[in-house]
Amino acid sequence: MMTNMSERSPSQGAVIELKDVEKSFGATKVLTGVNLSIAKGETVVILGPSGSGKSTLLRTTNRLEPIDSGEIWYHGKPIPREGRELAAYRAEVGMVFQQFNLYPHKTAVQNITLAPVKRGKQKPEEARARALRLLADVNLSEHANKRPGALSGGQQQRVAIARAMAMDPEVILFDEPTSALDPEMIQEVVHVMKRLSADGMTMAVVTHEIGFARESADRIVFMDEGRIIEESDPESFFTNPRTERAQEFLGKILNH
Amino acid sequence: MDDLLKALPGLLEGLGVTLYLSIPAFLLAMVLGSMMAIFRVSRVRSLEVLGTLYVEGVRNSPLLLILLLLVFGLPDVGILLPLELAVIIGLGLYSGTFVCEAVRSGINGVDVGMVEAARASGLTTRHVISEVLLPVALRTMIPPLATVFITTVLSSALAAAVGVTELTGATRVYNLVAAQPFVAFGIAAAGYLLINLLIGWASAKSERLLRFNQ
Repeated sequence: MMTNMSERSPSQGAVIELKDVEKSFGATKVLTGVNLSIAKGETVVILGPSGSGKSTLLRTTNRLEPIDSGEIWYHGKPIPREGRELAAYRAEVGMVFQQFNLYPHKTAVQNITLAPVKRGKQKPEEARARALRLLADVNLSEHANKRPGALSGGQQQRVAIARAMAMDPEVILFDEPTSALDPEMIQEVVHVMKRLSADGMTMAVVTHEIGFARESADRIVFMDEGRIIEESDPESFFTNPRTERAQEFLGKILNH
Repeated sequence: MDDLLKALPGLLEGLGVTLYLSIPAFLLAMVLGSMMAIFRVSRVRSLEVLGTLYVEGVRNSPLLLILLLLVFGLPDVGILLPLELAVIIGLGLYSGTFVCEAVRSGINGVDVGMVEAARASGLTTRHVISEVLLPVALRTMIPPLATVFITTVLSSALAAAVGVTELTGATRVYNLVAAQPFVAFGIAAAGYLLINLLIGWASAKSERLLRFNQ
């Protein structure tokens, strides 16, 4: 392990860096030799057919899935494997889930303040004031004291984004944030994500929202069968995909 | 009717004894059962085994047998407990197995995504459990726990078989004199119904208070 680390030094300025990451679920290999580096302020959109390993890639990044081999670095250091150190690392890496995963027994504000208060990052009153500002940013001021059950999917996902923002994360991971939403609610969530990206938040986004990818991505990463097979800027990816699999994929999602 | 009026204090006292047995027994069951449930989902092998041994060992014998064992068996090996205490322990041990399973399935029923979100936000395991897992699980556990409480009250009637004059025992005593079994046991049934309606009401009330959609 030590020799590996000294041989390969992390890239300059990378917030997150994955090196030769491999992962299997039982006999099924889901990630094969994945290398990816995300720079400060960058928005990386990960595309690919379902089952290509996009979500798993994202989930290994904050160790919701442990990896079989390879390395994941955060600001040039290997990420912690367990315990308080892992929790402290996760506190700096926000995550937004497909199913929102808000806490159903807590109001929007309480969902947002839980982690900052419990981690001792903010005092309760401070955290509450901050949460109200974040809710205002995502146009949910009047819903601050409602529980998730009383909110629409789009509203819940905006609360979830505010919840991630409350920790002042170094990077936010978005795992198909609009896939569970009704069509008319997708735009309100995409709008918030576009603004975050424009404000310079470092983001890794697994999505099928091509509009978001075209407008906000600094880089497109295309995955197929657990490998990254294409990496380019959005303009060249959408107009001139190099691999056959990417052409096929774009043909399918752009033709409807 | 005169007989009944004369017997009423005895029957009420029986009702009191039923409560005196079943409330502490249920509290014991809650503490023991919750602890064993946490053992069973702890992923610590030795604790899991302990929890499983408890549930399978106690749940699979008739309550009457457990009571007989504690009331007549223990003195035989030199451990003499007050009669009521022995019954409370027996009832508590027995109901605890059902509490354990209700709590365990409540915990297992919590959406994994929610727990992942809590972990991903940087909460430590202790806070994930106390702030998210248990409060969410508790809501789904209320109805099955109320059922366990009701069953505990009803099962306490078996105490009559080991010589405790609770509601059923008191009714039997009354019937020996009055020889009106239909009226006598009907009154006892009404007594149990009353207690259990109260439990059901409290359960529904607390479910409403804790409902998510507010």
